[in-house]
Amino acid sequence: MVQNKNLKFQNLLLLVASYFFYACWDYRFLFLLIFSTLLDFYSGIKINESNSPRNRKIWFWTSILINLGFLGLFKYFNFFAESFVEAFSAFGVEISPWTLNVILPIGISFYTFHGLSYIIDIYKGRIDAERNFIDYAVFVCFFPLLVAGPIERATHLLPQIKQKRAFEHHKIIDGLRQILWGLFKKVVIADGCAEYANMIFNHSDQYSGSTLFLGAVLFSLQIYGDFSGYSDIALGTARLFGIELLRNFAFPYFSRDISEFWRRWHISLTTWFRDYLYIPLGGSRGGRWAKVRNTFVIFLVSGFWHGANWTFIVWGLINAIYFLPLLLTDNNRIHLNSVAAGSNFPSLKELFQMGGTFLLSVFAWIFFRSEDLAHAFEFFRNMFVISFFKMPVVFPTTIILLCLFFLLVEWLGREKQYALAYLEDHLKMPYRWSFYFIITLIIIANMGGNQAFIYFQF
Amino acid sequence: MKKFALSLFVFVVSVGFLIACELALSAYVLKKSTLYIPINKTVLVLGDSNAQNAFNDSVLTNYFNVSSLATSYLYSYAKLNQILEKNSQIDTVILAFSPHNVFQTIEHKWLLNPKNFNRNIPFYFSIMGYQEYIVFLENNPSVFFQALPTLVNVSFKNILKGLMNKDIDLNYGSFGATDSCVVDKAELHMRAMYRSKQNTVLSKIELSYIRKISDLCVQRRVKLILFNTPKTKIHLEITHQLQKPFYDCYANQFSDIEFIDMVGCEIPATGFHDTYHLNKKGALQFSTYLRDLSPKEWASFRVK
Repeated sequence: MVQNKNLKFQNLLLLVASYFFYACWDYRFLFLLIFSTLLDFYSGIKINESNSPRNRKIWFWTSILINLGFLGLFKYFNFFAESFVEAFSAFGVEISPWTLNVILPIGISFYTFHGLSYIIDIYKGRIDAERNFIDYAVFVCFFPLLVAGPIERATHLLPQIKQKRAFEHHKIIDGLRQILWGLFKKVVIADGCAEYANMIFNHSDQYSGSTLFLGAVLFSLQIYGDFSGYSDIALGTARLFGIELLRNFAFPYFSRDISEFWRRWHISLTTWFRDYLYIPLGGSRGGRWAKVRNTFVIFLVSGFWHGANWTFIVWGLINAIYFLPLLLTDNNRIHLNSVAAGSNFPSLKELFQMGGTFLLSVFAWIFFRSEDLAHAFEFFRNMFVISFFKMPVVFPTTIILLCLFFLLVEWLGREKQYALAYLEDHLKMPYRWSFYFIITLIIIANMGGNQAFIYFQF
Repeated sequence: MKKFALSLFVFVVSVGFLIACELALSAYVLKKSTLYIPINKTVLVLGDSNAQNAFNDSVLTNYFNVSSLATSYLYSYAKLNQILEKNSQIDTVILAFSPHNVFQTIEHKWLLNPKNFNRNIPFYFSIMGYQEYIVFLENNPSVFFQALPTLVNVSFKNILKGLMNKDIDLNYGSFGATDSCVVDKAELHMRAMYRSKQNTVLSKIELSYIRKISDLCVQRRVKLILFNTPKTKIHLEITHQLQKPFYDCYANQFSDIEFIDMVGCEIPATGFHDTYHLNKKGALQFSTYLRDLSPKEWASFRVK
C-alpha cells in the first residue's frame, strides 16, 4: 500500500505497475498500447489548441481512424477476408483468402474505446485535453480495467487520478469485500458452470433437449459470473487505490424486460454506445423508424464489438428484435427501479417477468457461445425435441446448489452496488465474518479450474 | 492503517486455522476408516501399476493387492505402515521393483509431480509422518500450495461422508488390469522416449524408502520380497541402458532382501496392455502360474 501522499509518485507507480501487468501477457503489444496512448494524448492537445475547425477535424479523424484501424486489423481483418471469400464463392467465384496470422492484443477493445471517448469528448468541447502524460496514461491503462473494462470516461476517471488519494479504512474493506465476491463469482460459479457448459456445448449432438437447455442456462450463469466477477475484482482493486470505477453490472438477471436487462448488463459498454453512437445518429429524435434504425445499429455494432464471428452479430440482432416491441410501444423505460424494491419477495407478475427475460437472454446466449451459426442452429434443433421434457442426463447437483446460493445472495443484495455489500448493513460482525470465512473456503476448494476470463478475448 | 492490518492478519490467520481444523477432522475420519483386510489374505502386494496390473487377487486367493498407478515408495511406505498396524495376519509383502522405480527421473514424474501429489495427498496426509513431509518441503514445497484447493475440497467431502457414516475410499489401490492390448502403439511411444541417453543416476529418495519399507517389515516380522513383474522382450530391448545399473543397485544396496525376477516370464504379447503392463488376460495367466508354482520353482526366479 502506498503511504506516500505525493500524487505524482502515486500515479507514476500506478503507470509502471500497469505497464508491467500488461507486459506480463505479451511485452510486444505493450508498444501498441503506449503508441495508442501517445497518439490520443498528442491528438487531444492538438484538437484543444487548434483554433481552426479544419485542423481540429484533421486531428480528430486521424486519432479515430488510426485507433479503429488497429482494432480492425487485429480483430476483424481475418473475419472480413474470409467473409469476402465466402460471399464470392456463393456466386461460384473462388478466391484464395489472404489472412493474417496475428494474435489479438489483450484488452485492445477496451483501451481503444477509452481513447476514443477521450478524443470525442475533447472534440465536442466536453473536456479540456490533459496536459500531464502520466495522468493521461494512467487513465488509459489503469491495470484493474485494462484487460476487460469497465470502459471508463475521462470525465469520471481523470479527475480522480488528478486528486490526492489517501488510505481510507472503510474503502479498503469495501474493496476487499467486493474482490472476495468477484472471486466467488469467477472461481466458483463461472468456472464451475463452465465445466458442464463446455461439455454440453462441445458435444451438443449427444445430449437430450433438456440437457442442452441446462447447458445454455449454465452458460448464462457462467458468462455472468465470469464477466461481472471480473468487474467486481476490478472495481474492488481500484477502490484499494482510492479510485471509484464505473459500475458495470446491476443484477441483470433480475430484469423484468429486455430494456431493463440492457440497462443492467455491461453498463459501461452500452452507455458508451448510447453516448458516442446512438445519440450522434439522432438517438430517439427523428421519428419512430429512425429510433428503430439507430437501435438496430447499436445492437449490431455491440455484437460485432464482441468478436469477429457471425454468431456475435446474430446475438446482437436477436437482442435488437427483443427490444423492438418495447421500443415501438414506448415501454422501454418503465422499469427504472430495482425489482421488488423494499420487499424480500417479488410479486408473481415480477417473477414471471424475470423468468421470461432470463429465458430470452438464455436463448440469445446460445448464439454467443456457439462456434458458428451452423452449430447454434443445430443446438436449437437438438434442444426443441421430445427429450426437452425429460430429466437432463447431466445434472451437476453441487454446482446447481452453489448457483442457487449465489442467486439468493445476489437477490438479497440487489439494491446495493454489489451483493455482498448487503451484509454490512444487515449482519453483525461475527456473522458477517463467518459468512466471509465460508465464502473464502468455498473459493479455495474450487480453485484450480484454470478457465480463462471470457471477456479477455474481446 | 493499523486497524486494517490487524483485521487482515486476523482474517488470514482465521482462514488458516479453519483449514487446519478441517484437515484435522478429515484426518480423524480417514484414520477411523482404516483398511481391514480379510483374515485369509496374508500376502500384501504393494507398489505401482506394474504390480497393480499383474497380481489378480481373485486368483491368488491369499493375496491382497493395494498397488496403484504411479505410486512412489514414499506412499507405499506410508500405506504399509498403516495397513500392518491393523492387519497382523499379513506375513509377506510383495513390493514392485523394476528399473524405472529406482532412477532419479521418477522423482519428477511421480513423487514431486503436482498432479500426482494432488491425487494422493488428500488421503495420505493423515498417514504420512513428518519425515515424508520434509521430503516434499526440501524438494518441491510449492506442491503444498498447489494441492490446497484439492485438499480443502476432498477433506470436506470426507468429513461429510464420515458424518453420514458412509464408506470412504482410501484410494490405496487394487488390482486393475484393463482388457486392451496396444503393444504396437506403445512400442512406438517407448522407442521415441528412450531414443536419447537415459539418466541412470539413482534416486536417493526412492532407495531410502525401499530401505524404510524393509526396516518396517523386519520390525513387524513380515517377509519382504522385491518383485520384477513380466515385461515384453521389446521393452527389455528398448530399456537396455537401465538394466545393468538396476541390477547393480540391487546387488549393492538391497542384496539382503529377497528379489524375485520374473521379467522374462513367458507371457504372449496378447497378454500385455502395453510393453510393460499386463492386461486382464495376461494377469490371469500370470497369477494362475504364480499360484501353481512350487517353492523350488519360485526359488529359481530368485536373484542372487
